[in-house]
This record gives sequence, structure tokens and C-alpha cells, in this order.
Amino acid sequence: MNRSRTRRHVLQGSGALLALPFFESLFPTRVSGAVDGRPPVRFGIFTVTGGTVIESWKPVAAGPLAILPSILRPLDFAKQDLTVISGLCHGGRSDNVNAHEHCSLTHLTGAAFVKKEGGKLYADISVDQAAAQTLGRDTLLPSLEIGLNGGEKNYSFRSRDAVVPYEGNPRLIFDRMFRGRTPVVPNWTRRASAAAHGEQGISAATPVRVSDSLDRSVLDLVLAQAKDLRRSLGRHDRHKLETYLTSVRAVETRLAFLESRQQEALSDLASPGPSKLSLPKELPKQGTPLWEITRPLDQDPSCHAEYIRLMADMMVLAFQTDTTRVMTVAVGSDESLFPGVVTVGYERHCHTLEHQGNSFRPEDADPISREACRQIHAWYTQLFAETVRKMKDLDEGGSSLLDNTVLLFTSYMADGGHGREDYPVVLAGKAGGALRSGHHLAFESKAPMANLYVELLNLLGVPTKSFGDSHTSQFAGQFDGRLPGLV
Amino acid sequence: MNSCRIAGIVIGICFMLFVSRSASAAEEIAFQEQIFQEQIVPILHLRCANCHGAETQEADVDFSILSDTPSALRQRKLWRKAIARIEAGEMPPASEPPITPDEKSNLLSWMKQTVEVVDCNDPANRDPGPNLLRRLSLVEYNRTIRDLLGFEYDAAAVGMPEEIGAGNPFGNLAAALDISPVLMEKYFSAADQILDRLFGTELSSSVDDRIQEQARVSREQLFGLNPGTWRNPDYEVAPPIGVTHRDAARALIVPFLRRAYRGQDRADDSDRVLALFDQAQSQGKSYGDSVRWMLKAILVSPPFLYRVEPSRSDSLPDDIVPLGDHELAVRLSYFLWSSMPDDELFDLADRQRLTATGPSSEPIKFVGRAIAGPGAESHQGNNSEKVFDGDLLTALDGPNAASYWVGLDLGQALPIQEVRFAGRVGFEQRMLKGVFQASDSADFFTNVVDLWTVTEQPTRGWVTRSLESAVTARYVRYLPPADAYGNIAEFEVRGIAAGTVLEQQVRRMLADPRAKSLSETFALHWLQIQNLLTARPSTEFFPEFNAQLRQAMFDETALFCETLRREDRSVLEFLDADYTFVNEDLARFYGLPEVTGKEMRRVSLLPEHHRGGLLGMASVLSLTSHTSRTSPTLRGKWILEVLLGAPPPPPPANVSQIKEEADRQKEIQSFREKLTQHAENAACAACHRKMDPLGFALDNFDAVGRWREKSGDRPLDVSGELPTGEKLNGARDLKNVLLARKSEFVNNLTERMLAYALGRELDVYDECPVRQITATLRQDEFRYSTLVMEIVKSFPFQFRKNAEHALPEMEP
Repeated sequence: MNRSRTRRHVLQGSGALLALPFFESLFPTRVSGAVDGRPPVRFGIFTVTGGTVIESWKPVAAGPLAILPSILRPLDFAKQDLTVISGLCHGGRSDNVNAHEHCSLTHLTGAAFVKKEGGKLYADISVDQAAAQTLGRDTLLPSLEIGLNGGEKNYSFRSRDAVVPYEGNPRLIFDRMFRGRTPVVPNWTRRASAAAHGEQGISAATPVRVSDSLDRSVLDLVLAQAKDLRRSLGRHDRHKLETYLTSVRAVETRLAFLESRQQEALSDLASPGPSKLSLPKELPKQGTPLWEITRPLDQDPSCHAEYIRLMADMMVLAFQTDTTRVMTVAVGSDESLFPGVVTVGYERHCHTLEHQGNSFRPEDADPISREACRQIHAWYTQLFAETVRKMKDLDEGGSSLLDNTVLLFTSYMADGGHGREDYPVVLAGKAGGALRSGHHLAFESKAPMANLYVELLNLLGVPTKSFGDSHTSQFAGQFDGRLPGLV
Repeated sequence: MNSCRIAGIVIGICFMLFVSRSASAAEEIAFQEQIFQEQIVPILHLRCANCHGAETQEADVDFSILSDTPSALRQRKLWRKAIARIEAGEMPPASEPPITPDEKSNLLSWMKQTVEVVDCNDPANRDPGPNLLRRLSLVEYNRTIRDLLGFEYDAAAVGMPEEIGAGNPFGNLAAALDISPVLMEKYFSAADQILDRLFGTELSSSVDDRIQEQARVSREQLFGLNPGTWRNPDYEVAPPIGVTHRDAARALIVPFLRRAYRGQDRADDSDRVLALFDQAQSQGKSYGDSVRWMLKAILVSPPFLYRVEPSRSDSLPDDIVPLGDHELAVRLSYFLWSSMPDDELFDLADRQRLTATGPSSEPIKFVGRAIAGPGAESHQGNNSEKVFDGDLLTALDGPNAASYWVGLDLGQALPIQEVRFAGRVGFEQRMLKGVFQASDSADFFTNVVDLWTVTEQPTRGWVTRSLESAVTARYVRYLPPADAYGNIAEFEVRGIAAGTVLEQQVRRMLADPRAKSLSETFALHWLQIQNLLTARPSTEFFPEFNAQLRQAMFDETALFCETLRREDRSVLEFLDADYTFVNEDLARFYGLPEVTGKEMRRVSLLPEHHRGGLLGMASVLSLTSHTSRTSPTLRGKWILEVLLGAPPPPPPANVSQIKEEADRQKEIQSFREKLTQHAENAACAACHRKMDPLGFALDNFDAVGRWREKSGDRPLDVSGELPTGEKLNGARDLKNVLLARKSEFVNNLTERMLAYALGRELDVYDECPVRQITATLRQDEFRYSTLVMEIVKSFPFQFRKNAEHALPEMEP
């Protein structure tokens, strides 16, 4: 079947906007990842608050992983799937932000300079969003950002001045992934053979629902209004209205995606992939405000753990159903209390503990608070390890989901004292076999965190030689943006 | 020597400011120039220019462009930043040659004087700020939906995030209000949910009955149906008999569009949404459903989601132009109500009365106190208040059919020209034979005049009756017919009053219940009271600090803020007042004379109660404490930041902390010594010397705001000395110190409220308006309404910059 004819059919059927050039990009020209029968590579970030306690996190020696330090010990079962990297630092400067904001803005962006002006945040494109520009073309959602984020913590940026909001309500996350479509595990082997036989993911027979076409007209109408409006605005505000246009187009893209993939979804439903889906059992009821969900977390670590598990399950589900291939899960809160997790001293307030447990030199810090921080971070790792185990157990047809994923486990600060040197960095998974795992890569004389982002992007098929401050950081050294020994 | 020269500069600058038109002005300016060139430029050149000079401009700072005193004087923003950095020891950085103590003190005193100099005649200081496109914040969106559609809705249900946060304290900074793809999806979801609610098709179990009723009334009104005729949740509604679907749709949507787009005339838009209606009709959708599609498009469209002040083709780009009537109406309503203008504002704007100068000839609502005859207080709460709450959805529905009445005391005899009222929705016929009266006595025994008798069934909504001639009276009332149970939703009287239309509208709007948003959205966030919900003191150490008590603490502050607005009191009462609000629990907690019950009520305070003003409120005292103890530093920081607008810079990274004692009995034992020791550290001293004495003065209040004479078994030391030399001992002294600095407080409050009103951060050119506002405020006993009025009249509120003309549209 002639592909361009197919497209025209769809366009006619949906009464869509032929004049809009961006419409062309709505239709993927290939179904990537499945051509050779192998599942696509996914990129996940699981990031906690409060840094770590470095002496209980960093393995003593570089090279093959032997006995893991106490914070990492829950990951012992997956030692051969891990890459531990130490010595990575952020060198970016800041203006008009507090220390937490500084750390959070540089966290995934590696930006050389971050600031806040007029209440608006400026950093650089973040690694997840850079990955999504390529990996996101073939999925319903280019990327998904979930968990406790916002306020002083903002990790993801689509561009220098476009911060990406995170969704903290599990019900809304689930709806966003599966409203209007059935959760199904793609059969990568079947998809590959279909592609080999020249079948397209798009079918002329795709039925177009009547309401969709009205939805399209609504989009059409507001786009026309926005263009009118743009004429009456100053330069600065025209730029602002562009973000409105971009956002409306993103909605349009999703609409088109759903239509174009109906055939494929039906085929997958008829013969799904080998792994079993487990859908979340309990989601908050419709209309529950976020604070009602998150407030108990700050008081009760068992609620907090359940919430983190649910968020991590959402990531597994999104990857397993190929809803997105790029996902960031922001976990933890500096304002939480940890009774029961912290068993030493009497202070339970995480932020207070982080400050008391850190100083210029660890030896000067309050040892009881430092031990408390260690307990909190071991608790986070335990929850992360549960996720790693689930992904390791999911078979995608000869390889596990973990094999086909690279999962970055880190924190937005290096330590609880807003440090930005020697971040805790663990990669779990083999990124489809590209990653040499099972060892500790130590950068004794430090290296930019941004170099890790260059390496990760390359690993994921995004060709870039630099990222953030990879070449301008005070830690840039002679690395030329690389991390030797990683791949 | 050096300090003498600096003193000379200081005197010189002051001289230039106040005697600038005198004969010696030229000499003074020359003297200034000399000081700047000989004293300041060399330091800048030696210590700063390496990184901030002609060659490299780290952080975009370039001192080489400052060629003379006038150019230096315009850089107040830069000097502010520089002062903070230099004082904190961050500049010059450790990697550069250090600045000598002499150089540092000379430079700092010069900068500090320079930032105080503002020449309000300089055209550079007559600037209303950039033209801004303002997206509705979550708070504004919710309130706008309520006022547009007539029922309550909270978009937090679709996960729309609240924008309030660090650096955006009220969530309304235009620059920070972007739309992302995720947010756009949420606007679509919210529109669907809102329309489900309007048509009654959402899961009814998830919405409370009152809101469902509001929505039902709203859809009947929108579609012009008789009350009570559309009970079922569906789209089965027909246009009025004899009118085509298309004509009915147009009649419905044109006025709706105008309100949704806040008075903007956009003829194209009605054609566009009607085309959508036609498309829905051609696909076989019902009339109701087709209307729904139009409404959906409107609710996600840019003219609804953004407040637009479009460029004017009759002015040049960057011309400073006065606001048009509709623009002014919109700024007013979002400042005072966080919502869209009401019909009265639209009407005045349509007739261009809002920008009119001179005494108003528009009848204005007279504000009064609700009064009622016996029997009007019903089983459903104090219903007489509901007749004056501006809300058509709440009504007086009396307990029995016997004669009783509800009315207003206007405070003085006023010339009444109009009676306006609204019946209870769906029960309007019960007002038949009711009568509106005026009198010069509160019991209506003498000089009673009938203003209006209801002779035919009132239509739904507001009804206005003009009197043949004005009746001057202090008291007015509505006397329902016998056996009618009241059934009145709203009642007001109007007449000619002093002032311009704008002044009258500001007063009306301030008295309107919608102005509660000034307390909820502005005041409570300025004071950071929302942090009380996550305040650290734990019930492990303070078992009394439970959810109910926290709520009472929150309510105390909220009611206090509302009282300043409603009773138009002095804003200095934030610092000290002789009353507050408590319920039974809070009164006991404070050690005040007993009151009973859960409801908050006003109580008078005596000096021995130690309360009064914000610093006696447990809300403020708790949200600035640690888990188990007070934090003099956090309390001091709160005072500097929130009350005086002079926040200390954040502590340097990885500063050592005060170690907690593992044994809680020792809690406070040596805390003061420890903090003192910590504060002696040079890196910490500069700021701690400012913060800690303020906080120690409040140490008679424990971590949850309870009064104490000692800590554990040790006496408290609440004495201290500020860097300025003032000595203080305890909370009373602290209040006096703050009252002595009231100009700093008032200045700060003015800046915050002006920033809130404009939806942007203030800039250097806003200092002149701030000074003018505070000067008027000082002359008018610091009244709340004066602050609001002067902000509305201020230059940046009344004017805006015209955008540059649009370029031809470039299609990609």
C-alpha cells in the first residue's frame, strides 16, 4: 500500500487541517525498535530528595562490584545489572534562587547558569526532555513526568524557559496513559514481522469517530483565535502565545496518534506480548485534590512507601505498554517526617536531619543525624530495588524489561547540605545491551554530571557531543564531554 | 579620612534631593561627580572590573558603562544586588584578590545612599512596566468560572497545579504563568468537567447537592427556561418556540462570549463558534449538545485563558497610554476579586464611565450594616446576612410565615434613588405584595416611607426600580407579605454619592464578599500562613498542637485579615491590636477569659494577655518553630522578610548546624549560648545579629505560641540588641521597635500589594508610585481602603505601554 495515499485517507476521514505543516509529523514514518524484533530501549529516572550519605553509598574500590555499601545493599540481587558512578558534579552557577532551587534546576539540565526572574525559572533543556525529542516520536506520550515535584523542586525543562510540570495524582497519571485506549502489552516479535512484510501501523480502514472530528474543530478554532490574538501583542507576548500554540498542537498530536494506532492496538490485543499486565488496584477516586493524596505522606512513612511503589509501578506499566519510553519519577520530600524509618535520636524531620547531618566535612556533622539520613536513604534504595526486581521479572520475549531499559537512580542534591559535588549515581539495566554493567566507575578527580547525560543520550540514539556545562564546567577537565569506561 | 569623605557624599546626595532647585545645585552636582569619579570609580575598577567590566560581563554586570553620577543613580537595582553580595562576603569571590575593609565600607555606604535616591521627575522613572499577557492563575480560573457560569468548581480536581510558590507568592506573576502541553490537556479536561456539571451529566455522587442546584439554575438561565423545568441531566432542551436553532444559538452565545472574553469585541469569534454549532448540528447532535461544543471551545480559547490588553493602533509602540474602560474594569476585578468584572462594571465600562473624571452621577450602592426584625434569624443560620452577600444563590427563607423583616442601617441619612432586589431563585412569586420601606428610626416606628411595593411577579435575577424622587433616610427594610417566609435573595439601595465613578466602584468592590480574595489570595500568602498546615512542631512534643487547634490558629489570622478589610481599619494593626479572634480551645490555649463553643469570635485584649497583632498569633509563632523548640532565627527571619521586606540572604552552603542534644530535657538549657557561638562565626554574624535578637524577644512564646515565663526549669533571657543599637527585652519592646519602624513596614506592605495588583515583580521605576502611595497612606491613618484606592490610582495601575505594531503574519 502506498503510504502517502494512506495518510491522505486519514486526513480526509478526520476532516483535519491540511494547511498545517506540523500535521505531517503526526504520522510516524517508521515503528522503531521493533524492526529487528527487539523491544525498544527505555530511559527512566528515579530521583530522590536529600542527596545521600556518601561514605555509606560509595563502594570502596573502582572496578567490578563486590560488597555493596549499606545504602546500596538492597540492590545486591541485581549487582550484575548495575553501573555505579562516583565523582560526578554540577558546576552551574545561579542567580536569585535558593540552594534547593539551585540544585533542582541544575539536576537534570546540567545548566551552566540557572536563575529566577519575575517568578519564572530559567535553566536548560533537561536530559529526559532531550531524550524524548527522539525517543518520544513513536509513543502516545513523548515522555511522562510524575511524582512529587514543583515548588522549590523543578527538574525537567523542554527548553531554557519552559519548565515541565509533574503529575502527582496517580489517578490522573493512569487516565493520561489510558483514557481512550486499552492497556495492552505490545507483541514486539509480531510487530517486527509485520513491518518486514510492509504493513503499516496506519490503516485506511481506521474508523474515525464523529466526536473526534468536532474535537479537531475545537482545536482548529482556538488555533485561529490565537493567531489573530498574536497580531495584537508585543514581541515578548507573542513568544508567550507560541507556548499556547505549541501546547494545543501537542493535544492535536495525541488525538491523531490515538486514531492512527487503533489498528496496531487491535493487533496487539489479539496477540499480546508475553509479559502479564498488572494494573494498579487502588487509585484515588475521581476529583481528589492532590494535597489530600500527598499530605499524609509527610507524616507517615508507610503511606509514603505505598505512594512511591505506586509511582514506580506507573513507570513499569508505561514502559511495559510502550505508552512512553522516557519517564521521570520524582520521589521523596525534604519536608517529610520519618518515624519508624529513623530509629536514632529523636528528630524525625528530614530537612532538619539533612542539615544537621551535613557540614563542610562529614566529621563535623552531628553523627546521630547523619545516621538518620543513612537510614532514610537505605529506605529509598529498598523501594527502588523493588522496582528493579519487577522490571527484571518482566519478559519481553527473550530479554527482560530491565535489560531494555537504562534507569538512572540519583538525587537532586549530592548531600543533604545542598552539596553539588560527588552525586550518588547508579544506572540499573543494560540499555538493550549497550551498557557495560556490574562495575563501579570512579572519577576520583571529579567529572561533570552533564557528561553522563551526553553518554546517556548517545546510548539512546541521540547524537550529541555536548550537553549543559559538559565542556564549560570547572570539572570539565580533559574529558571532552565523555565518561571513559561507561560503554 | 575615608569616613569623612563618605559622610560628605551622604550629605551631598541628600542635599541634591531636597534642595535640588537651589542656586548651589550645580555645585552640588559637580561635588557628587567628583566624589563618584575619585572615590568610587577607582574601587570598581580595581576590585570589580576584572569580571564585570568592558571586556567580560559576568552575570551581565558591566560597571564600565557607569560614566557619571546620573548614570550610576539609575542603577538602583544593580546596587541592591551588589550590596547583598558584598555584605554576604560572596563578592569579590574567594578566587579574586580581596577587597580591603576600608574599600568595602566606602563602597557599601555609597551604594546604600545611592539606592535611596529617586528623582520622580526623571522620565526614566515614569514607566508603567512592560505590556503583559496574563494567563489566569488557578485561583483566578476557579473564581472566573464561578462568576461566569454561576456554580462552584475547582480545577484542582483535574490536577491543575497551584502556581503559588517560592518567588511567586500569590501565584499571579504574569511572567511565570506559562501554558505547557500538560496544562493544555488539563484545560480540556476541566472544560469537559465544567460542562458535565452545567448539564448535570457528571456523576452526581461526587458533587454536593448545593453545587448541583447551582448548576441547574445556571443552565435554566443560560437556555432561558422557566425555573424548575430542567431537572434531568441531559441535553434535551429546545430553543424558544418560533426561533430557529441557529438564531437561538446566536442569541445565547453572543452575550456569553462577551462576558467570557471580558468585554472584548471580537466579531469574528461569534462566527467561529457558530460554525462549530453548525458542524455539530450537521452531525445530528441535539440543540443542547451543539451549544455545549461552542461552550467547550470558548473555555479552552486564548481570549478566555489569557487577560489581554491588545496593542492600540492609534498609538506608537512603547507609547505610554491610559487604560481603556474595559481594561481598567478587568484589572480592578482581578485585583480585588481575583475574578472577572460583574455586570455593573461591564455596564459602566460600556458607557465609558469608569475612566470619567469629576463627581459621579451614577447611582451607587449604599453600604450598610444588616439589621432585622424579630424572627428573621432562622433555623438555617443567620439568614438576614444572606440578603446582603451579593450572592443570588443564597436567600432569606424565614422560620415562620409571621411578619418580620430584613434591612440595612446606612450609618447616616442618604438620598435613596433606586431600590434593587432579587427574589429567591424559583420562588420569585412569593415577593408579591412585599414592600420596601425607609425610616429615620431603626425600629421603623417614625417617618416610614414606602419606597416600592412589589405589584407583579419579579423576573429572575436583579430587578431595579428608580424612585420618582430621592428619599433621604438612614434605615431601609424589606417587609415580606404575610405567609411568604421572606424568600428574598438580595436587596440594596442606591443613590448619588461623593467621589468619581472609579472611587465609588473601588469602595463598592472592597465591601463586596468577593473581595475576600484580598485576604485569601493576598494577605495569607504574604504572611506565609499556609505554611501552618505543614508547620514542624510535632504532637510528640506538643500534644495540644492537633489539627483542630491548628485550624483555629489559621482562622484567627484569616478573620483578622478580613476584619481589617471589612471594617477598613489601620494596617498598623498587623503590628499591634487590642482585639483578636478565638474559640473555646484557642482561648484556653492563650490563657484568655473563657469563651465556649467552636465558633471563632472577637475578644478584646489587655496588655497582660501578651497578644494582639500578628506577633501574638500562634499561627505565626508555630510556623517559625522547629520540631521540639522555638527558633529565634526563623522568627527573626520571618519578621525581616515578611514584615519589613528585608530578607537576610540564605546561609552559605554547608554551614555547620547547631547540634541537637539527644536528651530532650536539656532542650533549651544552653541553646542561647550555642546560637551565640554559632553567630560569632564571621560568615554567619552579619545576618544572625539582625535576626536573632528579634526572635529572642519572642521567646516567651513557646514553639506553638503558648506564653511561658521560663523554659524547662531555667529562666528565659529575652533581651537583645539590634545592629542599629536598639535594645529590646521581650515581646512588648519588639512591638514598639516595629511600630517605630512603621514606615518600613508600610512601605513593604505597599510594595507587596502593588506587585499583587500588577501581577509582576516591582522594578526600580516603581519606587515613585510606592512613595506616593505611602505618603497618602500616612496622611490617612494607614486605612486599608486608602492603600487599595491609592494602588488603583497609581501610575502603573492606570497606564500601560503600547505594544509594537504587529508584523505581517508569518506562516511557517
